[in-house]
Amino acid sequence: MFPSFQQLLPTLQPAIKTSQENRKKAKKKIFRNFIIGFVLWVSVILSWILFQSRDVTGTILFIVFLASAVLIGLSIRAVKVFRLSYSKILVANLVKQLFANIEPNEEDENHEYRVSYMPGRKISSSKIKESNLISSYTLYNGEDYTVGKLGLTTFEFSEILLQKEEYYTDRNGRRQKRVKKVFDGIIFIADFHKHFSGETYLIRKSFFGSDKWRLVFDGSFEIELEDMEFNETFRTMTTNDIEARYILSSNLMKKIMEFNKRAKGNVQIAFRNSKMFITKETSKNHFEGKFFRNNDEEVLEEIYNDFRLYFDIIEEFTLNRRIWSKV
Amino acid sequence: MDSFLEFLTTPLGLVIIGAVLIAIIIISTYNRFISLRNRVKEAFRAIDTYLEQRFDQLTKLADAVASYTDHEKSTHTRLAEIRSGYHAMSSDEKIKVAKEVENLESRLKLQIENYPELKADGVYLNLMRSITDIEEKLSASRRSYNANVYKYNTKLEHFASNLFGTMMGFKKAEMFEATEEKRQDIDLRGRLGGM
Repeated sequence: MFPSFQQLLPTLQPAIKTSQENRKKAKKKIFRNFIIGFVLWVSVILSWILFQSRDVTGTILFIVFLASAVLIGLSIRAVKVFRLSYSKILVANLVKQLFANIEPNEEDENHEYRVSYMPGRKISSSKIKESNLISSYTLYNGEDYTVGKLGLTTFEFSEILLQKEEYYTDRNGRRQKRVKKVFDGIIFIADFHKHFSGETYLIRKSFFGSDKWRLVFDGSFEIELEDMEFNETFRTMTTNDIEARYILSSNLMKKIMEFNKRAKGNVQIAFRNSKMFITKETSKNHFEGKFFRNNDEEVLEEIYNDFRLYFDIIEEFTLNRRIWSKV
Repeated sequence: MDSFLEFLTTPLGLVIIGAVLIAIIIISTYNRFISLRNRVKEAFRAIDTYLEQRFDQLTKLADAVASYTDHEKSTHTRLAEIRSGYHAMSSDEKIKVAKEVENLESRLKLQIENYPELKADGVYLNLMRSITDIEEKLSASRRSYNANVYKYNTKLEHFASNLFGTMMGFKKAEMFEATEEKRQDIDLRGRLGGM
């Protein structure tokens, strides 16, 4: 259905060229900053050799320190500007071309193919809370928001970092703050093809099972499904076991297992309000250009594969197959 | 507080602790049996509801076929007969009749093959989608019923819950049997834990 990366590559060449020019410009700026910094530090040494005066050298040292901090800041900014332009020019173009070159499986007048990629935006906090997969957090950050419609299914996903501020009293009796990571990864939301009113969760099995108890207090209970491998991988919690089995057909269980393998684990899924929420923990920055890697085609192919992992869910989970009651 | 703890170490205190523990075990076992039995009943009620819904949709489908030809009204007549008497049937009769409906549905689908214009009709397509959805729900409620019956029966057989279960008058529940072709779909390896 989606074109291969090799099919897309010719259409991306102008954007790759622009991005390479941007990288060159950024590298030039960093090199210039380095040379200026180097000259400034040499001048400190020279001033010490020439004047042997603590006052003069101290003043110069202070100025050079400030200048170095400014130069480092400018260099970091140059890298950030490059990454942002990479996202805006190359990644946005990649996503656009992916959807522009789709070969639809079914010809249906209701099928629609559109996508928007916004590198600076993220999935809203209310939607993350709606998933009920993540326990409480106080700090919320994210990027690379992708939203659209593939066939009959609307979807959205983005990278999300959730943290919690905790306060504690140290040995000296002082109140201290520490920031604990709650979630770092990708959150994906799509319309599910079946209508349901209950809640079903596929959570990871852990020794203490804190997520399990949180869901039990919310009214869910654990069920075992027919697939033993599936039961070994996921803990299925639901508020309605008939509905859970209606959603999790043997075919969907198989697809979820395949997706879990392809995503290399750490996947949790919630079915709530006729939507499917997937959280995938990862520390990798998925949809961003690499400043120090010159092989843009290789980097872009990695980004292409990361996008495909999420776009393919709709195809693989047959979310486009609308059931009568849902229409 | 100290005198209370001292009292608990006396023979009478130990007897009271034992009695409280036994009471907790009996109450929790009873509640577990009740909750499992309720889930079995709920799943059975869901099966019942979806069977009725399937009747309605199949009757409409048979209607559509009958409107194309006068020769193939027998399926429609039989479905209407079953539907009218369905509410008065016992659980066993309902299960028996569900199998007959499956045969009628297969016959209906064969009849439809003879009418390509009916297959292209919007009403037919909507009916088929609806039937597919109901069948998925029916299958889910059957799976749910069997899973809950399995848990319930296992609890009734396990020591020592079997002692309480028999004392409390809980009886084994019957599982739904799969038809021959559906039995082939069951993953025996999976059920036996890969043995």
